[in-house]
Amino acid sequence: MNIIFVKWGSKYSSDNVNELYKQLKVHASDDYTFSCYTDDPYGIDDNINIIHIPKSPTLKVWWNKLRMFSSEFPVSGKCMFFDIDSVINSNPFDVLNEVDFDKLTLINCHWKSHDRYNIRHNYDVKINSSVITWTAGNHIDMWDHFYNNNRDYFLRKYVGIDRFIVHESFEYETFPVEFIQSYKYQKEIDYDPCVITYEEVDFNECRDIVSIT
Amino acid sequence: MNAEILYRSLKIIENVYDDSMYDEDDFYRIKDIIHSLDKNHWDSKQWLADILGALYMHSAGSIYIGGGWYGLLAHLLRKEFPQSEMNITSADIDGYCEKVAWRLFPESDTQFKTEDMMNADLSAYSIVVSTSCEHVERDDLEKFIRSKPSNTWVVLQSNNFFDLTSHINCHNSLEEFTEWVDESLSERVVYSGMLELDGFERYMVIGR
Repeated sequence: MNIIFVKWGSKYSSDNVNELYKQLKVHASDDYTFSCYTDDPYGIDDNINIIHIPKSPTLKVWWNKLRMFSSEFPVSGKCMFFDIDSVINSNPFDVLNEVDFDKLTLINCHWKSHDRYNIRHNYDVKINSSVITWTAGNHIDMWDHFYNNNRDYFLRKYVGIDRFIVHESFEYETFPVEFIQSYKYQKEIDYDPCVITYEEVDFNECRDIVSIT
Repeated sequence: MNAEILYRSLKIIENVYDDSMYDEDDFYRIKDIIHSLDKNHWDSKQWLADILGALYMHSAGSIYIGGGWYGLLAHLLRKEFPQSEMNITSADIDGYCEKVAWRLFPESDTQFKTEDMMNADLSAYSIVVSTSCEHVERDDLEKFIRSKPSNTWVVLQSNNFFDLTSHINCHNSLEEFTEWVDESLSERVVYSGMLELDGFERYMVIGR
């Protein structure tokens, strides 16, 4: 099992990567391999394998996540990706028993319950890619579609890979809703999530005021 | 913007909606087409046409626009160079641009085509242009510049608007951009200038 992080630019630090690694390591089996795909490996824990972001094509922020699906991405077998602004609340690997690794699996944004999300032309989508599972090599069509077909148009059109995946009609499954709490959208929940995601909020500031068990 | 171009752009946008009813569903095209005609883009490309018109003292030639988008620059260059002896080609890797450009600027006497500027044969052109350097890999731009004949003019625009994820090749200053272009030129820089736009700076370098 490959556990993968992506760190590009300076928004998140090597300390953020190392903290997430520590939170995940206590739940991981010995045969789990941790990797960080990054443009700056300085300060990242020696137990995390470094995969260097290549010079070309130049991709900024979240678009680097899409590169994980390239046939040239140097991992094989089962993969689980975590955004760096995730906090582990309980064992996130238990869910893997319910995951079909032949398919792409992402987070179900069940909190986006308004009818507008079901409108055909709605730009926003009901998934997010803060956590993803897949088998390496199974979804190279996603990267190839992005890379070979008017990449600049996709970069302008989509704010993030979630919308790219949905609106370019790639198939996906979702994790059970109890797997995730969105700090941004779910202030109160009635279940015990495995992972808390902090998408698009000031992660470092928020983490200081949240009690992590 | 003249009224005829505004009317044509509205009819094209109407067609985007019509297409979405039963066929292709891509409403972002509406935003993209409007964006291509907005004040920042219009001013930037008019600036290019004005400066190039003042510097290029020949009545004949051939212009290649790489990444010509929906054709606005070709339209403005045609107004600057109305002579039939000046050929204008506007190419974009995005096939949808060619369809829109033919409808937006049919009187511009321009060859709109779908082509990756990196695959273009520049040997027959007297001027090559890219106004979207911020969207193009630095190595690719260098190849583009070096693939032109040594006496062919090159006109490049970039900016310091780093915040967009599609802006993969911005520059911090006019000096930085000029220096970078100069290193790839066979002769020299003949113009280097900056245009203050809404919240960012646009840079232009012309050379041979």
